[in-house]
Amino acid sequence: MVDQPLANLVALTLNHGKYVTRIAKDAKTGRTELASWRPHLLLVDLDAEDSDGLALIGQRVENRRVPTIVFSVRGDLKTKLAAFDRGADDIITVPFVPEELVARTLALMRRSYGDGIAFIPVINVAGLQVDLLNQQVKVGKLRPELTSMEQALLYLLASNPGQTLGREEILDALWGSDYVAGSNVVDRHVRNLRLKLGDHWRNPRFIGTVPGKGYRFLATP
Amino acid sequence: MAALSGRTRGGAKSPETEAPRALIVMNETLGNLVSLTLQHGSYETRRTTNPQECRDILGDWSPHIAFLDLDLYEQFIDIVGRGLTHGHTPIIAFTRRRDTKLKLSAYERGADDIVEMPFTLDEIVARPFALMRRAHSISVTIVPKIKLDGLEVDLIEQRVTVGGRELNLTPIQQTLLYLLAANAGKALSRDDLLATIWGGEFEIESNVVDRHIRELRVKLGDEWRAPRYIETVPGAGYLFKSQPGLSTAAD
Repeated sequence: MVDQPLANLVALTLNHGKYVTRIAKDAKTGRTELASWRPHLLLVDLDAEDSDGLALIGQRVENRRVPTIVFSVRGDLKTKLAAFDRGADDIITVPFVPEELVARTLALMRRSYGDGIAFIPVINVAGLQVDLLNQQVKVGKLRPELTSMEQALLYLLASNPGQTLGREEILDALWGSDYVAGSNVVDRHVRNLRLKLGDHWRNPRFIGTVPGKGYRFLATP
Repeated sequence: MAALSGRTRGGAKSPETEAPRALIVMNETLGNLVSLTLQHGSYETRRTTNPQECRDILGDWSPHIAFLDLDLYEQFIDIVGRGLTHGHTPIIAFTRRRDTKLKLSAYERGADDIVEMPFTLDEIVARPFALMRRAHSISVTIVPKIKLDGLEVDLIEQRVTVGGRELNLTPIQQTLLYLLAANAGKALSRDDLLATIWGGEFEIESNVVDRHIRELRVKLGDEWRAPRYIETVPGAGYLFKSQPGLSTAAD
């Protein structure tokens, strides 16, 4: 129930918990998947264009409540209260960083299903080994330490390989609409990230610049 | 210490009329903001940063919910979460650190929810609302509008009015205004405001506080030379002036 870059980011981040994910693009598909696939966890974007997402919350599947996390923009109290009122278990405010999603998902899964939920701190993303707990990436012999924002940026780009993401799109996803427009914060973070990954902007291995458009994660074979 | 009448213990069913009790373990600046925001939910609040007093409050007052600054008062999570004879008090923990290990361990030690700084006010209304439902099956009545010092704040509609005039504030500006107003009469330094709203780790331009204050003043119609609301205290920071008598008068 989320727009594509965000859905991909969520799916990638959930790899830290060995989840199998399916993305439903609208409420109707969501309802069908709920009934036929019977997921352990439901994630709903309440800001999605076709948002009838609220109606998905609190539905029982085979007499079982599906633990639910919703995504909402900051400051929107009405939506949050309505979601909690319908039985949402937790809310993640967009923009979010990957560890926020991992921590909340893990806490909810433990609360709902007990202790047997695996958490995988290290995952492989397109030739990079990312350690979420220690905020460390392994690229060949390099082991740079990333800040949360750099890690979030890397996840966002890497979860949408080959696709160009505009500066505004990145800004909205990671910093939110409160951030001052025209800020060069995205470029600054890309520069730092490239430096840490040993990526050269002329001949990048991971993050390519798309002139006049934005940035693109290069899918390494 | 103070005698409390009509308090209910542990598993007793709370009457509908009983106000939810919230324990706040935070410094004064942040504690005042949280306390003020909780007035949107008709909570009674108590604040402490003293371990013994905290135990006393837990024992005598049995709060429904606790708000805890994890970065400054981490050891209290064990007092609040474990040190009780009549069960665990649900905790909402606040942190500025982007530290997954810390968060996971906070969940394990008894935190039920975590609020990250910078937060917006709706978080401090919505998350306790959910937790009160989950832990106590109490549906806290949300009071959408509260009045303070000449301002009327409607959290649900995200509207702030001054003397009947509506201000169009961003969530951050609203938080900033609230923080100042919650500590009316006391100068808050830039560092204090930065640390409380954004936290240390967030990358932010250093003049961000001044910029938001400037914008806020413009929206309030405040003249910096002779301000009615936000005063600059040289060398100390910004101060929200108490506005006695303004809160009810329309003119």
